[in-house]
Amino acid sequence: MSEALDSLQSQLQAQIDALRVEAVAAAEALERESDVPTARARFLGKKGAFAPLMQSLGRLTPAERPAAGALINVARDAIEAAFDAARERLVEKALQSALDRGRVDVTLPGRTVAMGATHPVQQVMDDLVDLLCAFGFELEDGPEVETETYNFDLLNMPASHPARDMQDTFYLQGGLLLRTQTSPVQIRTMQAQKPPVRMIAPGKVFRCDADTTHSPVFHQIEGLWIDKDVTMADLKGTLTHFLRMLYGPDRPVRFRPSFFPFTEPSVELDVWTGTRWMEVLGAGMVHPQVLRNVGYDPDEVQGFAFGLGVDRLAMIRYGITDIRYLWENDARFLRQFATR
Amino acid sequence: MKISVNWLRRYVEVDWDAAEIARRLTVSGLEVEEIEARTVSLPGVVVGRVLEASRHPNADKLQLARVDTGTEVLNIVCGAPNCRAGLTVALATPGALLPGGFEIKKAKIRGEESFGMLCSERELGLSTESDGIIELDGGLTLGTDLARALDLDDQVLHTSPTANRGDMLSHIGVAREIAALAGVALRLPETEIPALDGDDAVPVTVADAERCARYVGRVVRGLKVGQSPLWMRRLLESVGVRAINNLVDVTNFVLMELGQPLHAFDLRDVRGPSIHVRRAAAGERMSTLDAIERTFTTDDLLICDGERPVALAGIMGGLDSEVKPDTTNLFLESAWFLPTGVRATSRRLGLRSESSQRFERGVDAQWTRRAADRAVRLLIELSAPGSTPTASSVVSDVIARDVPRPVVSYRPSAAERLLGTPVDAATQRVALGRLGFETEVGSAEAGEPEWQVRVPGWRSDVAVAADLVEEVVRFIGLDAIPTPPARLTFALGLGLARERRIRNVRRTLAVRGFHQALNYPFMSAELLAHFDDRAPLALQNPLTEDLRVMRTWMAPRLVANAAHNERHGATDFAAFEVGRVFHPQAEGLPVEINRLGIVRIGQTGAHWSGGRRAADFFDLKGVIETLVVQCRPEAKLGFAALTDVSFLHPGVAAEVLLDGQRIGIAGQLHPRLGRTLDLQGPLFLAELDLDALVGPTPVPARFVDFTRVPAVRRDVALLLPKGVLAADVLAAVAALEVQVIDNVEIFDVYEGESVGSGQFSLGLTITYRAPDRTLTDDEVGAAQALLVRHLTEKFGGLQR
Repeated sequence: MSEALDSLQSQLQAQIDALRVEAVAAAEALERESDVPTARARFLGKKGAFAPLMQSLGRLTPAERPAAGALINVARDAIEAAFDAARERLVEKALQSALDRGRVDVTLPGRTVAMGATHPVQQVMDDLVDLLCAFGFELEDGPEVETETYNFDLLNMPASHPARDMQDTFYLQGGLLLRTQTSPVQIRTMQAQKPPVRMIAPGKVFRCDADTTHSPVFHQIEGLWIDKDVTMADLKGTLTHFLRMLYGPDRPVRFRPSFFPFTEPSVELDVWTGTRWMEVLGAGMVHPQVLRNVGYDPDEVQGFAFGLGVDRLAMIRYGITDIRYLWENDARFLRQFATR
Repeated sequence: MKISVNWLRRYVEVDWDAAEIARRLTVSGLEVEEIEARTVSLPGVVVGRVLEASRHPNADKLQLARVDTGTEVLNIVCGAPNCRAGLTVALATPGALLPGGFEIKKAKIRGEESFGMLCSERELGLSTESDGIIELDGGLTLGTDLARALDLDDQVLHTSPTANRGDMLSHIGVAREIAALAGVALRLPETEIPALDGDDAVPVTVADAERCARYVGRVVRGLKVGQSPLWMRRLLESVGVRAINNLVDVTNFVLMELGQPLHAFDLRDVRGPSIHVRRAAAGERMSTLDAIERTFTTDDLLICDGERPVALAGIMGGLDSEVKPDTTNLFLESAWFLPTGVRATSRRLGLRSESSQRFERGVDAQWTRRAADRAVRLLIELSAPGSTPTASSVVSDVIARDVPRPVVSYRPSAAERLLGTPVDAATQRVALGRLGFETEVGSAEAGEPEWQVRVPGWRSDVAVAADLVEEVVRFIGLDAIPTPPARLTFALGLGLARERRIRNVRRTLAVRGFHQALNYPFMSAELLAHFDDRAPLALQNPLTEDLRVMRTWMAPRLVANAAHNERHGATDFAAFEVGRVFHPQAEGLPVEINRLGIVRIGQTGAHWSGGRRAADFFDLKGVIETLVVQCRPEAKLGFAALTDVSFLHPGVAAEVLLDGQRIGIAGQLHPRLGRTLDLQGPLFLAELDLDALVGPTPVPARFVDFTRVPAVRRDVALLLPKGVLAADVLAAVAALEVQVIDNVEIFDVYEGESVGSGQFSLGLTITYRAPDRTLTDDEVGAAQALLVRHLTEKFGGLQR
């Protein structure tokens, strides 16, 4: 090797080293990812700082070129790497800063529509209907405005019957009345169907008295099961099971003889609240006269009927202290039941 | 009804305490709701006897008594004028505590030592006034605690007798029930009359045998009005009857004892003297004991003397023939009146009494005469001192007809069939026998013998075999019937399926922020008239005028609910109600329609990030759209401007159409009506026919295969004349039937200066798609141009 070549090589070496130092410093000084391509081009682009060096290779002899080329390539790779690292650093930096900017106070309220609620009486009614339908009772419906015939007479409560006093009645024009019980639905269902009949009828009923424990409008569920062989034991079995589903299997239940004009024998069911017996439903074996009234033969078919008041159950379940809350429709009351 | 346990023990001896009596009665059909303890605390007050009484040496009005306590003899200073030797007295010994915290101490009174006090009823807290010291029955054991000696402690059962059991409205009836349950004898009260004299009688005629089956009248002379004895007053007070005087108290006592209403007339006021039981003439009048003049109809039964009505049969006596402080001679009535007759008159006049309640439920016709005798006996026994009353030996006893005691044909196997468990015939026979039923067993030749069961007079409610089964059940106890597992059957569940769809509507509304309201279906005629000018169904006996007419819309009450909440600070109130409305028909039942009513007031979208704005018609419409998508996805929902509902804002009123049929309305409450109903802000409301909304049966969704070819979206804004309806624009696009138009959506509606008055800008996003290929720009451009040209020509507008 000649002296001249050595000198040329070392000169080239020095230039490359200087460029490399400058380029790495430039890469490390970059602050925005978007500046990376320009900065990189300043060294490695077609018109970048390495371009003259590449051209100078042409002045070398073929024997000298490989070594010089290698020097340049090593430097270019290093610079390339420096800019890649810079890009990576800056992408990460930008992400970090975006994450910082995107930070939220997770304790602030979410964006929602305030839940409404179905009415507590409705909620209890729905539960009761579900339970009874699970027993295989068919859901039936009937008019709220009734005739004396359906509300009383066919239920074995003729006009002279003292039991009519049990139910203070709202009368309308033309011999019509607001039904005092859901029992007329029994009659209408039996008139429309041949036995067996197994039905429940939830709905509003009306009595003309009002105080802190009575509302002139309230809700009942009526039940009826007529077949060839439905006995008082079935009444007890069905209703006991029903109350266990409602109140849990350990709650004591008491059957007590009672009186309803349309059932004979009649019973009332009490559950033990822990301090006292609470009446929850009335029931009985359908009176033979009622069966005759709908064209059934009491020697052929028999069965039981029951009725329960829904509003009081709702008051007990939710701890509602005054029946008037149920009808006031105050948002402060209604929104407390926004669970279902 | 209040039943005194002490009183019961006069007729039945059982070793059950009050709680056990209550339990037994309850499980056999007479519910005891409460046991009230009536106790008298008189520690240190004992029964004593005055051995001698002499004047106090230093005081004119005081006496010195030597009183035997059974164990010692004490000196007592006493100021009562009736203190005398031989008198059995209530002695408060030193240390005794009288009501009001008054403690008895040994004392020196005007120089004489006194080792206690002789007490009056008032001092013992047994009455509010008294005349001298209490005079006790000489048979009481000296030294006994007074409260125990006089049975002052009592337990009162608050019973809730069922409407069929008239016999439970008397102590003898309840005692009879206890005797039957316990299997012990019933001790009937004494009815023998001690002093019979004379043969005067008031003649009685009964013109209406149906309504008055029997009438017993007895005359008692020489009575003297005074205070009833302590035991009777205590018993009457324990069952809530105020003691008045010995004559009135006796009739009340027999009423509570036997359940037979009696009426005592002052004989001076029975003109004629004669008694006639007859129907009233139309318009006939009389003032009843409550000093109200009553006007009668020919359906009312009167007790009349020779000249005028003196009592309203079975309900209430007349004002001017009642017992007075100077009454000495009585005419006493004991009768059997027809339950339905008494009930009809009592209902018509709105006049109920202890007497009418019992006649309505049926009193025991076997006791009409004996009850009269019982009362006469007590009247004579309890007449005030200084009188020697006697009863006439002639009784006016008119048996106008027999009150039948039904005989029920019964087969003991009926019990098993109804109860589902065998009850042997012997047990049933014992049960019926103890309860007073008389059984005649027929021949066993043709299989099971039929029983002929005669119903006791006090059980007029028993008429058919099922009633006898109930008697057997009451007797053996409901616990004797097994409780088998519930038998399941299977229902088609059609009703429940519909109910579930309605339930979904309620839940969806709740999730969308609406509260379910519950309103009475009746309201004031005035409120409803704001919404409906048709004549509604009206109650004849409303509780108040505010609850007079049946709703024809859900809206009035819901609007009132919103106003209530707005007043109470819930200004963003949203509610719905599911219920019925009622439309009267020319005859027969009204038409009842299941309705969904929805209201909302105030603002929506409240969030710390913004977005709060006044709720408007489109919030309401959006809810309806959600409900329809949920309930009837197959049906086509439409809204059309509405003008025939006067309670809505004329410019914000729509009919809701499902497949072209009106199922309801939606809009803004007319601001004028809002003001009238005290609403501050706008209210939006909707009413939908619930059955139409949920549909008959749900139609399952049909799957339609979708294309995976990408769609192209293009927006266009059109300037259209005001008044062009969005629905018409969309319909016009659909009518074009351009195959590649997949969907059109409105993304913007703008009115303002930049588009000029009389016009508005409607922004549409059109989605283009072909099922089988990617559309080219040219195809999309051509379709878009066609669409824009068609719309601008049809509606007279421009592309922006």
